[in-house]
Amino acid sequence: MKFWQKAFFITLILFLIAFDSLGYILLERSFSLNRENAIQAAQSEHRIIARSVYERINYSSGLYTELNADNLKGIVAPYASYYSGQGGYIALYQNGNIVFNSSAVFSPPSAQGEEARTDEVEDVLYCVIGNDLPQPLENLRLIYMKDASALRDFKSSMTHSFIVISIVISLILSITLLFLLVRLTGPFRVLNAAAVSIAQGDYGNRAPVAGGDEIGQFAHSFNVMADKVQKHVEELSNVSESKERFINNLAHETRTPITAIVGYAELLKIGNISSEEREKAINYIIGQSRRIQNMACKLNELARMSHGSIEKKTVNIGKIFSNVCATCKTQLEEKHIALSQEIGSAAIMGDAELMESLLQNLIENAVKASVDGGKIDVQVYSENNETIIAVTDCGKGMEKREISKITEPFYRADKSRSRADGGAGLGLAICARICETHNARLEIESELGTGTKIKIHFTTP
Amino acid sequence: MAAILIVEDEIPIADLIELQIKLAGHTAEVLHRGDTVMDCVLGKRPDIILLDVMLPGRDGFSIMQDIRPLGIPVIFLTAKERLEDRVTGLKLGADDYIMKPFAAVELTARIEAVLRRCRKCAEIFQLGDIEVRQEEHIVLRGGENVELTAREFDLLRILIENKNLALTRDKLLELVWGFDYMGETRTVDVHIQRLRKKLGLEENIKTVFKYGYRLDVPR
Repeated sequence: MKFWQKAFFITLILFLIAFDSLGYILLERSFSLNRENAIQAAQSEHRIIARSVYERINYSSGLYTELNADNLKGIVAPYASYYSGQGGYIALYQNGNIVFNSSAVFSPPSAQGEEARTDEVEDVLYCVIGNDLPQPLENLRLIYMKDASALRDFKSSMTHSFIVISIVISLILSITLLFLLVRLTGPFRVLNAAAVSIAQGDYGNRAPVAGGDEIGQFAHSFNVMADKVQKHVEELSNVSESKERFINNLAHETRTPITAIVGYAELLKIGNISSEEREKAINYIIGQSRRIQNMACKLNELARMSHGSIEKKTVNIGKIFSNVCATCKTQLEEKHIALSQEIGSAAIMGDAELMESLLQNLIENAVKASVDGGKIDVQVYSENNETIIAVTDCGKGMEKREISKITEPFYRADKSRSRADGGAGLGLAICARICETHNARLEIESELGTGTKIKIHFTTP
Repeated sequence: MAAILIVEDEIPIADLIELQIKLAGHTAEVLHRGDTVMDCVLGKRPDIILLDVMLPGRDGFSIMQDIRPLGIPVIFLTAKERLEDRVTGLKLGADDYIMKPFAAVELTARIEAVLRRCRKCAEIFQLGDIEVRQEEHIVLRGGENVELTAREFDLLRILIENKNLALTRDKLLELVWGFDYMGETRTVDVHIQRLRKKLGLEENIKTVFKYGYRLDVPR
């Protein structure tokens, strides 16, 4: 059963119980008030008759010596015939014996004293009033019975109208209640629809937020939750996508050298090849093995950074730069590249080994991008509380859309070229990782044909 | 002997294939980019094209669409294991595909198979004073017919097909006698001896130590 149905039935039942019991109490109360009024009216009529009868008897007791039944009948009969026209009936008892009765049906009196009650005789309601006459005629008891059917008719007509009113009000209430409940629970249905569509994978869906009531607040919290879920799902799928790409790339990168190594080794074993060809095959085997070895080393470096935490010390960049220059000397000389520097005595907080690796990768990349006789510029300076290392080359550069992908492992701006240069395609991926572990920001500016500038912003001094 | 165009961007692999093809007695032309292929194809009209799928400049599938009307057989060299790529290649009209990494013997066999299918005239193999007419099943030595058994002829044919590449005794047994042959590798040695004697190829049919036999043919 749905919530609005539950709310509808519970409200309706409670209302009907309350309304009907109230109606019942009011009806009963008004009936008993009316009854009292009717009895009082009958009592006053009884008193008038009783006094009148008393006076007549007192008067006539002088004329008649004995008060016998016939005499008494004669006195009472005119009253009886008068009142019977108004629905009143009179009975007279003498010493407990009935002497006169104007009604065919008669409610027998109680034994003594004053009595006032209602009684039902043969389906007709009567007010029954009885009393002894005053002294010395106390042996006479006058009973007056007044038709009170109006009382009953009033009650039944009231009950009837009440039932009709109750049904009409219930109907109106039901319709209003239904309308209100459907209106009030509407936002829940909308929220539910949003939740269902999110559950089915449409993580971008949101519930419309309406008003500041509980439902509005709920919708707002729901949307906040959905935002978080969407973000996490996107992050997860990004991570798994980049992992998958990494594995595909790794497989692709290793296949070429392995194919070459296996192929040349096979030819060395079974082929009828000349000594020059033999030399070439051996050189390829060595070169391609080195390529795999180099890749393994770099991957190892990447993995090491993903796991271990680094120990930060004050590092003198000038000192590191001179180490890197010594390592890269042959590469620079081979391509006749001039390396200029503006470093001074700048220092940053970091891991010396990683800083060396960072600078070396940046310079190696710059060398690979440069043409023969090119120029590479290394600058270290402070700006806005940041220490910035900038490596600029005047090489071939790359397109804007490549910049975002360039730090991904194995991505190459120029596929054939850098592979021929012996690069593993991991240099900038490693740089990005090193920056990450140092909370530094890697910024790449590049223009196709004019060169590339890589800036690293160290936020901590 | 056929003129073969190799299109492969990885230089070590391209050189490897070139070497393998030269060993098999064909001539080779090597290209490293996709966008220069059509010029070369139209200019030199190679007999077979070995085409990589992922190429700088232009990809192999798109090149294939231009080559197809020329009727030059194409073998795709693909690093992708995905079935759909192989199917795409064959649907575009490639004659075969070969997956990297591949063995030299496999590459040679595929090239021979494609050449056999596409060539109308019979292949005649010559080495010194020996002439082998494969279609007619005839071997001539100095113009005179040499009697060979069916097995000996098959063995000679396999050696010629894989000239300059050594084959193991097991491989020879499989290729000449068939998978289900239960004989010993000694059978191969006996047949090789007979071939050498009958054709005077003691120098050319080499024993590769601890491996098998190889028919050396000067290039």
